[in-house]
Amino acid sequence: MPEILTYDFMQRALLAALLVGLAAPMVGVFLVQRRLSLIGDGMGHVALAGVAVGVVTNQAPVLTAMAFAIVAAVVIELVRARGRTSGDVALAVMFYGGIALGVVVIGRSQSGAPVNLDSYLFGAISTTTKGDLLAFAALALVVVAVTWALRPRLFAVANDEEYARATGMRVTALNITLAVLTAVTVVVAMRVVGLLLISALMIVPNATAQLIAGSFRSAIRLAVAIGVICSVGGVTTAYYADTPAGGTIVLLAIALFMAASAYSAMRDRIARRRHLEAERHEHEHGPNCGHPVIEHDNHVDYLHDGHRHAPHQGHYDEHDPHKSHDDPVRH
Amino acid sequence: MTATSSSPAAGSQTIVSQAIVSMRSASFGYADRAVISNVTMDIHAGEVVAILGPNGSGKSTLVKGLLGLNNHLGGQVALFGTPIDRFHDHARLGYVPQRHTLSASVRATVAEIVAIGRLPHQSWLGRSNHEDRRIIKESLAVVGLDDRTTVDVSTLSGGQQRRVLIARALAAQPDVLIMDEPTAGIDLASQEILSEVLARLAARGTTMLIVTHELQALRRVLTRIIQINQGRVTFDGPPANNELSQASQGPDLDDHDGHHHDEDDEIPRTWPTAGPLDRFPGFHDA
Repeated sequence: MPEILTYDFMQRALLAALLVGLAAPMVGVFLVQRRLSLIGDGMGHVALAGVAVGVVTNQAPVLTAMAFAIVAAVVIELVRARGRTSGDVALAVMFYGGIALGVVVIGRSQSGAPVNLDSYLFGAISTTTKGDLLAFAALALVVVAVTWALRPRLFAVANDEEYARATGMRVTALNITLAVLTAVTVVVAMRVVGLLLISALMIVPNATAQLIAGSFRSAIRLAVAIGVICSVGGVTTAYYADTPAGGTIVLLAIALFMAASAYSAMRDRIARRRHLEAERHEHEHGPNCGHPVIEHDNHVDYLHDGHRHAPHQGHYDEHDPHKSHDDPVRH
Repeated sequence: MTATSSSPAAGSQTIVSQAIVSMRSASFGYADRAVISNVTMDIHAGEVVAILGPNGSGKSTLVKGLLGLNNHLGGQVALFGTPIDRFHDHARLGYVPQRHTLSASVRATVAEIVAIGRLPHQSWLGRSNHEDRRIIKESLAVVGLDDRTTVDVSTLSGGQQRRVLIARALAAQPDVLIMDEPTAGIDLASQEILSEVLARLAARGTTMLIVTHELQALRRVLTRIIQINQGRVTFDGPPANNELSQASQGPDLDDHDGHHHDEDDEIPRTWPTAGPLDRFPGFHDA
């Protein structure tokens, strides 16, 4: 057994990292889809006020943070649903209010020893107790299960809210559910990556997956895989390099994102170089358009005046049968 | 129920005359402000109705009202014989919203978008089964895009995306298609194909309610025109009686592109894919 696994606290830390790495990108993809990538940050701010209240009143900070974050989640969605332009400002006030309240309440703490806010702001994964871990595991599994069950409908609502409403979907209820799932994820991840960095674990793996994947389904899977790799890999790296786990996890996620960006830019450049656009024509090829159909790799070419036209984005590519090519364009 | 059926003995075909949409002095709007009021009409199965009118006339408000997207402020409205406030079978109304582009915030394939149309028929834990996938494929075939199922929608042209939205509505297997400006702002090739798609849907007997500026693309398929101006219905009748459909340049002609479509009757160069949903696969050869 590797040395890292011989310590109880590291076993717990790795398990917590695994759960958070699984749940955060699953929820995060819908935030990316709804262009609400920063909402997790705001909930983290409000959760800090909950942590402070928990510390001062001798309640479990996790529970009070959860209560604060869930209330914030519901308020956010109700404010958004009303569609007022002042809603944006109202949210900003709530988020700043949360972090300010947290700092002030902690400052007034009677507990004598100054409470270490850092462990909530930046995570303190190796101090996770067994009880905490069990609570996190249960919550993370609930988040994963609910997100999976609602996935098709969350996708539909985030894709086209008006259409979803017209087909009778409970759009507001689904949006509030997503916000609550986000709030729970924020709190579960607070000990692992910290309230200031949790949003990164929800968003960055999805940003990376979007660069590479070809469908929503494959993008989710890839994002979850990246999330798990980053969180478990980050905790492991942090152990050996003696760095804070939260920051290490996020830096690893960003490194993967940059690698994926470089890969996707290179792929596009190669595709463009090998890519020969066909002459413009108003005719649109289709399976029964009259032009002979040639199955080619995993797409269809249409034989048009002796050359092959393959549909690509809004135009057609020339696919010359005499040149060897390995289909640089994704279809 | 206000449903009435004529006697099947009357002719060789059974004619079901239950109104799909029935309105009596109906008004719709936002909050308490009526945008369109005093609408009285019945729309029956098989009708292809164009709802014409200038921007801001209230024509979109009317169809969105039927879909429950704004407030029903007065009068009686029934869908398939059920009063609108008690109507919950939303999948029977196939909505094709006006969208210039689909949201491109995340990757989604054509098939994934069309699969959204199947959701009203699936349970919370259900996922697309073989039958769903078959219907998705067929819906895409009707709009001539079944060769693009795995393509990212954001890479398609505007007209192709519009057809994806029609396929999404068809995948719900609705009894009426409600389209908001399906032909607005798209390139000529797509417009031609879209016009063919609508003709094909009409030939299949699909009931359609089409909000539009442009009659040209629809002329062959329309059975009725409803004209709306400043929140009131100003004309309701067959296209032959409508001055706008006679290509006159009336003072309130709302032809945005302002040019004549002389080639309108020309036989189109392309037909969309004959899909398996077509009852008359060879109708366009006739």
